[in-house]
Amino acid sequence: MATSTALSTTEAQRRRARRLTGEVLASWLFLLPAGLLLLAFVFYPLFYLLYVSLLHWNLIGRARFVGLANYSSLLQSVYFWQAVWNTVWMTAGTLVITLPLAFFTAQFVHLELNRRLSGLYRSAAFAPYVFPLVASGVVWNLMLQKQGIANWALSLLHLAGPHWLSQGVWPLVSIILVTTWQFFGYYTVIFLSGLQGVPPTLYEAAAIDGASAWTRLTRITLPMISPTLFFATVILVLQGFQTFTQAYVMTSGGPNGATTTLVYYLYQEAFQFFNIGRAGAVSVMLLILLVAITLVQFWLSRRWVNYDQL
Amino acid sequence: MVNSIEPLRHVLSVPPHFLPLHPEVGPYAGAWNSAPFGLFYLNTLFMASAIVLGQLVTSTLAAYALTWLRIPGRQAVFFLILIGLMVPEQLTVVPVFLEMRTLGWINSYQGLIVPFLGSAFGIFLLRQSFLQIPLPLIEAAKVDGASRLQILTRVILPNSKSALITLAILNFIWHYNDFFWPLIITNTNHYRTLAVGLSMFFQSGSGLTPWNQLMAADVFIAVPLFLLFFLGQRYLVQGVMTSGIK
Repeated sequence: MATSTALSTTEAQRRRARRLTGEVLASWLFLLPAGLLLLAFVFYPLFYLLYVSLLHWNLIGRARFVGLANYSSLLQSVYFWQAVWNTVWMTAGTLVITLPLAFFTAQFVHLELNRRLSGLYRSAAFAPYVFPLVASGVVWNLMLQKQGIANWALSLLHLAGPHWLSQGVWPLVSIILVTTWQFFGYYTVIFLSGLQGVPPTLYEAAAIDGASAWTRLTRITLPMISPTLFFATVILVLQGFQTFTQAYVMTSGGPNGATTTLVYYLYQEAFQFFNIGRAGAVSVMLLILLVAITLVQFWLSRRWVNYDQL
Repeated sequence: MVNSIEPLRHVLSVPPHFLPLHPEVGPYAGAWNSAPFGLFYLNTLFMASAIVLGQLVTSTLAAYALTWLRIPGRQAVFFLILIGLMVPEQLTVVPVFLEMRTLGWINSYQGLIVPFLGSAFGIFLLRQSFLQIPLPLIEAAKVDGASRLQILTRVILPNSKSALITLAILNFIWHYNDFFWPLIITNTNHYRTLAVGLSMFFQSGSGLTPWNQLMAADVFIAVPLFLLFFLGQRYLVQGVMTSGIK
């Protein structure tokens, strides 16, 4: 009797063990397709990239190992630094225009419009986000022509419009405008969802205390949606550093490299000049920049982002 | 919009007019005929649909394994996927291009599609949704003797419809609009997509830019997107609000 119970326990254990290995096997099997694809096209390329950045290679001839030469020549290149600063200014410009605009629009929609209207507004604001960036670039290119709509509107205000796409800082400004137009609705929608998460009781309490609109904004709204603001900032900066399409379609990075972004520079090095190793080094620098900026943002966020939600 | 049905000489008139003065369909026909936009349409729809289908399958399987099956080192795997989520396409373009070159996939449908079949974002989004399914539902199916695949297709998928639709719509729009990778991986019209075709059409013009035809091309590129947008708006906004990536 005793032996038979002992036997059946081990039998049960064995069966459980078998089921477990079966399950482990099955789960690895399920993970396999996605895992292999991500390995091949996301993770392995990151390491391959490091290697490529140490080569001198034009795709046709033999690759030559040159150590850090690509990096040192990049750091001494005027064009590289121009691309870095263009990208920084473009991203900063988009940030300071888009986020406040989106925030106050969201605030207005949230407070002043009824449900139906705000739903309608949300759809309208979101529409540019699904419009192809290439197509936006073409339309804006038309509007920003010397005789385009933008300058006509300015002439109504008795202002002389610039040559938007070819003069001074205006090409950079034009790209910031297009980027803002394209993504502003997206951030409005994100902020709207943040605002909807603030409990109305907080405002009611503030109203009883006689708090002004400014106090309500700085003491309740901003702290309460600071995680959303932080998230939007991180995403916008990441996106800003990847700007390519606008520069390609609207200005071809010009005039004289005035709108060459880092990714556009990378594209030129890799696919126009076939300096594969140099392009690899640009990618690595971009990666380092992105990681550094994101880390700094997270570090700074401890000072202003409030996660003690109600 | 207005400019797409105007003769060229009226497009850049001062002051501008907001209603067409001389409507005509010429620019549409002109644009359609001056580049193989029919082919670009087919290429784009095929590419975007294939990527969406592929991602749905691979992401579903992976997300299922990561939520409901026992995997040694599950946390580590999930952490890796979170890292993958943060690697932008632009960073890996050079090495992936070199991989495609080795495989002989430059200027091919494989080159357009295969690099995007696995998606960290897809796994992440579906995992969030799968976690919402109550455990007793899964336990009950197990007691009834359902196999793992049956649990997936009969219990999990029907309960995650909205996440699946969200992923499909978002992905379709991203890849329909994607410009960077199709620009790099294609070099003949045979495989070009609408976005690339439009930019080529835009930049090929010598002398007078055919603005009216360009606007016409813009309109017919946007039509499928806006249809999708109006049909799937609820999911789109939801998707952006819950995940907010890209």
